[in-house]
Amino acid sequence: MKLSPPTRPSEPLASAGAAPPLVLQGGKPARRAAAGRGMGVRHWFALLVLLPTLIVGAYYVFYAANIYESEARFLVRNRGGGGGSAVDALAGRAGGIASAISGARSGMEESRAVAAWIGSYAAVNTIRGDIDLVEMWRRPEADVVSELWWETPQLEWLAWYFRRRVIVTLDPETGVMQLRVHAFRPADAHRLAEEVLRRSEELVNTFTARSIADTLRAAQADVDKAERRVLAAREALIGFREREQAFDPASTATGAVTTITQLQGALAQARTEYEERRRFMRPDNPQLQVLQNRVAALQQQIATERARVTRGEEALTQQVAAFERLELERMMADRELASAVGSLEAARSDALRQQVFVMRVSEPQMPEYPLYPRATFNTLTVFVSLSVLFGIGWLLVVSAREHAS
Amino acid sequence: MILLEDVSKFYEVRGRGKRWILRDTTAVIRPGDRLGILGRNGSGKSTLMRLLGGVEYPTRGRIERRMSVSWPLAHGIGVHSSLSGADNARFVARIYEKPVEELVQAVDDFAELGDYMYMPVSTYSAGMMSRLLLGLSLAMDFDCYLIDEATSVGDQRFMERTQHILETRLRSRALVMVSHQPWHVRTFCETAAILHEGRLTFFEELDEAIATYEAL
Amino acid sequence: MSETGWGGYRTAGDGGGLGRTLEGFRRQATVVHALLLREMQTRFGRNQLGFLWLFLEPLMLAGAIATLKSSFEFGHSIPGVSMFVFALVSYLPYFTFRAIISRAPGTLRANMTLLYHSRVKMLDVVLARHLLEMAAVVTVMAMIVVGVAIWGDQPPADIPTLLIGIVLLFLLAQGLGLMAAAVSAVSEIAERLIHPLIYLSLPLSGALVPLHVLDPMIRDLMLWNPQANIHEMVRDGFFGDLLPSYYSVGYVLFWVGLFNLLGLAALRAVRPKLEF
Repeated sequence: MKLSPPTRPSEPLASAGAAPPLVLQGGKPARRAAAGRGMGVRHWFALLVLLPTLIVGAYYVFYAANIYESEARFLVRNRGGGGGSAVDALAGRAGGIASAISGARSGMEESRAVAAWIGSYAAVNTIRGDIDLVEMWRRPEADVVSELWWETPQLEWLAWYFRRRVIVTLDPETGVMQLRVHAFRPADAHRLAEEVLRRSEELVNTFTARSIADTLRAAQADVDKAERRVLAAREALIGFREREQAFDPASTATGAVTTITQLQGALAQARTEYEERRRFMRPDNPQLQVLQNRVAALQQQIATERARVTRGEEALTQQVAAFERLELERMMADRELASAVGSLEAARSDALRQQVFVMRVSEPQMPEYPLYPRATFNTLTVFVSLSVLFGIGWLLVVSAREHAS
Repeated sequence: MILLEDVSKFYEVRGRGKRWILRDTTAVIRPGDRLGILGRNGSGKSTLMRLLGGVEYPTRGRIERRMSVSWPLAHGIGVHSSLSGADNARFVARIYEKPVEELVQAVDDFAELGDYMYMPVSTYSAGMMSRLLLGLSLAMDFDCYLIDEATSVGDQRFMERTQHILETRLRSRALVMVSHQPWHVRTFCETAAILHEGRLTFFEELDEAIATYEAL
Repeated sequence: MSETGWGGYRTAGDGGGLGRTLEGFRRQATVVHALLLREMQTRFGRNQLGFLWLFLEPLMLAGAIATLKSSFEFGHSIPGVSMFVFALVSYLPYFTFRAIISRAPGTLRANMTLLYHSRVKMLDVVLARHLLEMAAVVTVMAMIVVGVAIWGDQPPADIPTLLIGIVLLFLLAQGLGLMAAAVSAVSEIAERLIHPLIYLSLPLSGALVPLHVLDPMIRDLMLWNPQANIHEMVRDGFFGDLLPSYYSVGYVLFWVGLFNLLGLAALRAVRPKLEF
């Protein structure tokens, strides 16, 4: 058995010119230097991961401007408190699905509305009227990357930047909203936070005013209508009285009848007395004459009275009917007015209970230390993300290159 | 050219330490070589083939292929048993980027499988399987063919045809064949080596190799 | 860079770096394409019905669960959100997720013989299968979306979010699947553990219930799981404002990246140790 060398010595071993010198039988073959064939993995890693990381790190260390954060917490809540508003929600305030599921929390919808408003074009537009946002975010100390990039930005761009610098978060459990405002100077951050908060309060107040106005409008209209009706009824009654010259035709009629009845009573009495006296007196007794005269006078009077009532009987009946109609109308109008006023009162108190307002949990503070930018965290994030991406990319490239071998 | 530089390969056998297939072997296989490797059952011939084919990786050292090498042709290797011969041919053609239908035709012509071409390869006999495999790999036109266990090369007629092709069309191609039967090596190869206990020993003369192998 | 470090091989004609890389990607695409075609053949046979089964299987599974769930009315009802549609939208992605991970170990074993072709790499095999699953789930999702839009009169709220969510879930499953495949290739115990782990993770996956109905404490805990984030995202894409959702894309991206990196690296590390 012969242990032969693996190759025939007569042939040159490496026919390919690029082949490395092979040390046969013992001794490790020299590893090909990666640099000899372009860039090795280390170079790529340096270029694609370390260099960007360094750039980002250098930016934060040497260049990035300090950013101060002013933070405020506030709550949008109902005056009525939890219980009352839950009833309201059930009673028909258009409750969203969310509040139906999670149980109506007081002021939740308004909180969402406020959160939605901050960052809206309307909000940015309002606030830039009060504070020079462009100047604030283009302070000389601001760096080129983080400052507002436009000198005279259109509303859309300003709002885009605004949303990066003014951040509102709503804790759905407690309803507490957190407002964080970033600026390059502590005072700027504080001032803007205060301004945003104030504008939010105003917004909430408009909500309340609008909601009260909405609720009251209908009730007020009812009251107005009832008032007009009462006035009309009164006017009609006064007109009637002036025209008919009777304060109260019904009681006038009643008075006439009473008079006749009384006269008849007096007549009956006078006759009875006359009959009595005639039995024991002579017919020419002057007392009898007196009584006879009285009877005649009473009869005369009754006839007159009766004639008065009967003559205008038809007119008086009509008068009474018309009067009673007017009187009824007046009473109805009075009653309606009373109930309308009652509803208005109820609506007003209801609206007061629906009133929402901003409750400041913590006032915006004057920042003392620039919390942002978070240099270490951001640089690390960049490094880790790039490393992972590079790792994946490298593994994919290597496995693809294997196919080409 | 296939270069083996200080290649070692062993398996961890539980409780029994390492089982060596190759120890510190350095070798070269050139275009046109006809190398037969003899080895007893269990000496690691198939593993050696897989190392050469790049299927398994050496534990130490490096194997460098500077020519296209076929996959180790052995029964049921490199084909999917539930697919038909034709489907397998299409798959292999796609992988190696050859014209698909032409290749199916070429394999069919060479392997002479008839209707079996469209039956799942799990129904193939050993001979049919090896005809399919050889047909596939020859159609791929590799620079080096690895043939594991020539017993499956098929009947006499097919062996002659294979031999003829190797000597004519594939004269410049390399062939590595492992077997435990010397006559296979004698039929197809010009040089031989013996794989025994992790040592790969090369011989200039076939007869010497066979004699040594039979004396083991 | 072709220095693989684990004693791999190199070619003689080592072309320029970029050219070779591009050529490598092109060949990889070819191989994956071939594997895709073969995968469909072996999985469903050669008839067209088998191809249909690829889409019908997840659809029927999700449909069955959805029917069960909506008919027994367990879970929480949310106004405007049909329980049936909710279950479809939640379970279908979940099934794909589970299928990818639980099949990953078997994928390698079943395709071991393919690795004899040196052009076929482990990654190609796994990628081909995942792409197939992905194609199936996107198609089925599209069918559901169209179906619900037509018969349920509820078009998806945000199609990009829906689609990105599904792709993210797929990528997450892909990373985990790569790891599962790699781990189970070298350790049988690990392979046995994968299935129980998948089942145990179901309640934590966030696929079962919308996080919105959960207690905030539990919700915050659940959101540590990137998968829960993705399910929320998919549902957000479908239901939009009907169902408040909680997720962070950045967080999901981080885990997706990490899992894929680990998976790719694990697969690569395991390759030389494979025994055939």
